[in-house]
Amino acid sequence: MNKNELSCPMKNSAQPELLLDYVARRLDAARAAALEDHAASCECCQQFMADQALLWQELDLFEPAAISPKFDQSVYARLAADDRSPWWVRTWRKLFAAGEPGAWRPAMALSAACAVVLTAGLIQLPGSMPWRHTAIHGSAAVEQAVAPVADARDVELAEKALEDLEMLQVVSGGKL
Amino acid sequence: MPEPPKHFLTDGVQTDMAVAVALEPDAQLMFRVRAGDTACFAQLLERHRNPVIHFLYRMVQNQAVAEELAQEVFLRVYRSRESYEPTAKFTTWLYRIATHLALNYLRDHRRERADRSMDIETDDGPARQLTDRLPNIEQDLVRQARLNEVRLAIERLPDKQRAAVLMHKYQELEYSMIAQALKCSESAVKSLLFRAYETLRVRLAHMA
Ligand SMILES: [Zn+2]
Repeated sequence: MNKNELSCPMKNSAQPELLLDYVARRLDAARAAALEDHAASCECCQQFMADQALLWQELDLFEPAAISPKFDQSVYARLAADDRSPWWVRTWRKLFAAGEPGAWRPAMALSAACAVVLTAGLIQLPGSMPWRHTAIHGSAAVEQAVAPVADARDVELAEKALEDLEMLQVVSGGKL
Repeated sequence: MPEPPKHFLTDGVQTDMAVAVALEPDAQLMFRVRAGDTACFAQLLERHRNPVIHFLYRMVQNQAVAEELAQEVFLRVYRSRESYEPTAKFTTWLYRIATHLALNYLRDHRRERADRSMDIETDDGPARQLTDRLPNIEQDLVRQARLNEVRLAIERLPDKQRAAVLMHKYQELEYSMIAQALKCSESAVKSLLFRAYETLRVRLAHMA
């Protein structure tokens, strides 16, 4: 084989993507020409390129749909609603900024988030606020005081946090 | 680049702004959003709205759901403005969020999808646009049937393969960006793509 000749991408596992890149027009002129030279005498590559080119054309049929003219408006409405949410909800979300660079490590986030919920729960507890009048002895009393706060909203947040945790664990510390 | 209003520039942000000058335009915009310049968020939305929605639409194959998920993507971008660090290309980060949300949606709605794929929807934009473009009704029907086959073939791909194909074919992302969005290696992405394209070639071979 000539020194400059391309080895067959179908047999060379080091460059299997060359044929995909050729059909996707991602190769520079020199590499495309080298591949064409090779394919001229390689039935295997010729066949792959022809089949992939046909598929490429068929996939072009799948055009995107029209976007709602109110899309931006909906985004801004959600941003505004987000800005109006209570401080502890915003803090919670910051701790679990899923996938966003800068998110805290899962373990730290989990313990900090527990603190946020506990604090928010104690602050937002309705009615008598028993812990202000009676001393709380032991964990049972704490559970009793915090229990009313574990409403649907908290359950939803906790589920969201767990889902975000899943992602953070893979991301390793929240950095790309 | 116009100067941001002085009252937005705390010491920390000033330093970040200096760093941002050397960064890609999107990262610069994010730093300005962080400094309180909401007009820059509008620019980010303008630049990335269409590709993100188009990607999500092809992922979930439902325009209303795609737009809901895209809203969530931009909401998460906005929420993370204070902790944003340009450790990767902004676009990569954006697609990682979008992919994460789309994969979660697909996972949570697997049963509905199975029912729906028996009768793939044809009431979205492209179908109507095709009718406008093609005068011949027979030609239109044939094209519509082929489009449905393509959509179904894509929908039946395993979720990760589907995401890889969509990012490669339609969003034209580099392998490294797809790898980061899918949280796997580049060689794993290439392998996903080979398997996905092979499956699609087989499924759509009768259309050739
Ligand atoms: Zn060959």
